[in-house]
Amino acid sequence: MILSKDEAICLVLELSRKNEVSSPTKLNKLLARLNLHLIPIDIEFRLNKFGSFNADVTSLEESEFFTIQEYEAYGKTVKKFILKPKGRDLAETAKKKVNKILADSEFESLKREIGNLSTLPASEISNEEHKKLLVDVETKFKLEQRLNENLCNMLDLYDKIDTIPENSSTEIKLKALIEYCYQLAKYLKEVRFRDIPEEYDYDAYMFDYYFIYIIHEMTSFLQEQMIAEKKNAIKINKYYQYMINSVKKTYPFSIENKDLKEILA
Amino acid sequence: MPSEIYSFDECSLLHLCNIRVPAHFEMFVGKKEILPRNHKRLSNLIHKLRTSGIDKYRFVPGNLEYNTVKVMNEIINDEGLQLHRISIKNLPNTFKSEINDQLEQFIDKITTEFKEIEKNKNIKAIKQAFIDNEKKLTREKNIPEDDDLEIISGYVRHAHDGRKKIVSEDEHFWGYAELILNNFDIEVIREREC
Repeated sequence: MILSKDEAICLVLELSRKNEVSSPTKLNKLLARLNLHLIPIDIEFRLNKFGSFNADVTSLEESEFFTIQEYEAYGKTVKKFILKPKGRDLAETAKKKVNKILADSEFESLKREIGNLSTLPASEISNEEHKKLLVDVETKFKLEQRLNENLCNMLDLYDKIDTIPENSSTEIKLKALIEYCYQLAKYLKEVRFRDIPEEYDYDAYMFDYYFIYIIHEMTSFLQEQMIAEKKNAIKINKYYQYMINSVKKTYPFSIENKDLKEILA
Repeated sequence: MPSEIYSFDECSLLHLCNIRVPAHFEMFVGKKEILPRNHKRLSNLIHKLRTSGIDKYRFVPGNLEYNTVKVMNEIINDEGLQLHRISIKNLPNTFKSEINDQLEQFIDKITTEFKEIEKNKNIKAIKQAFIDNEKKLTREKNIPEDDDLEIISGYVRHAHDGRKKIVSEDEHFWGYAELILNNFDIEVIREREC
């Protein structure tokens, strides 16, 4: 499951105050925020000094789903994005997809969060992003620790994978998630971050950092689910869809990369 | 007006799915796409029903968790994939799960094309008919599962003047085709003969 670019934009506009977002920068940040809720979207972000950023979002053209209005602010011409009726229908399609990975309460929380963030200036939206994701050079030590911790935790879980039966889709997904995240944690530590750059990485790839963050976040949940009699199907599906399906050919650790075997060798 | 209607059990609907093989797994599957058993026959039948305007039905509520796992295992066996021999580096569990996930998503996509028939929990008399005429089945337990009986019961209650047909590869249906036709006026069509 992955939201297309248009579905993601319409969902964000639908959840925003007055169904509009007042600048491309803000739209960028609100879209990137979907990643923190583990909603896979077909937009790849870079992490620059100001947070997640995708140049294509900045140069969006008006479409059948949303209109773009220009207005003056602080002596500059700024673009505002407004949802159209057809965009509302697409947002509904997106919601149906999201319902498979978020519990009702989680969706309500996403709705409130996007609604509130849409009223803030863009500069305030991603203040905490770097800190959470350990992107900055000052947090290099913590990043190294996190990589080690993730690999150890995932190895522990992987060692017990055969204790999970395969009677339901959820159990099959749980096993796959553990297997995949173990290999991903190994790749991140031994390949991708084998040498952590001394300088700030101006071309940092968002998924590297999000994956490190999410593996850390979900470890205790996976430990709990391994022994739980009744599995949390929605949450397992959420982690599964994000980790496995949010990246396509452009990310090296992807099942869509035909050379993945060489990376893992 | 067409006088016949067709219904499909959930596994037969899942057999309509084209499984796209993610690039990393192509090396041990040897192809880019997997077609479940009887896929071509079923697709042809669906096409024929579409063009003739004959109504197609499915039974609700589904038993998707169970049936996707069943069809996923079937696909792996039919393709002769020995996943237990594949090293962890090649993510065998992830491959299984991807097949399963595609099957689940496929059902979501096609359901709008099929009208719904509610399964019926009142199966006592129907079960008795099977017990009284028990046959030795080769692949399944002799007596159909309650879910199969709820399908028959729901179909019996579904009002229709013409012929009711059900397409299935489940031996609980085709193994008892005669009994189902004579007692419940439902014609069973085995997938491989459709």
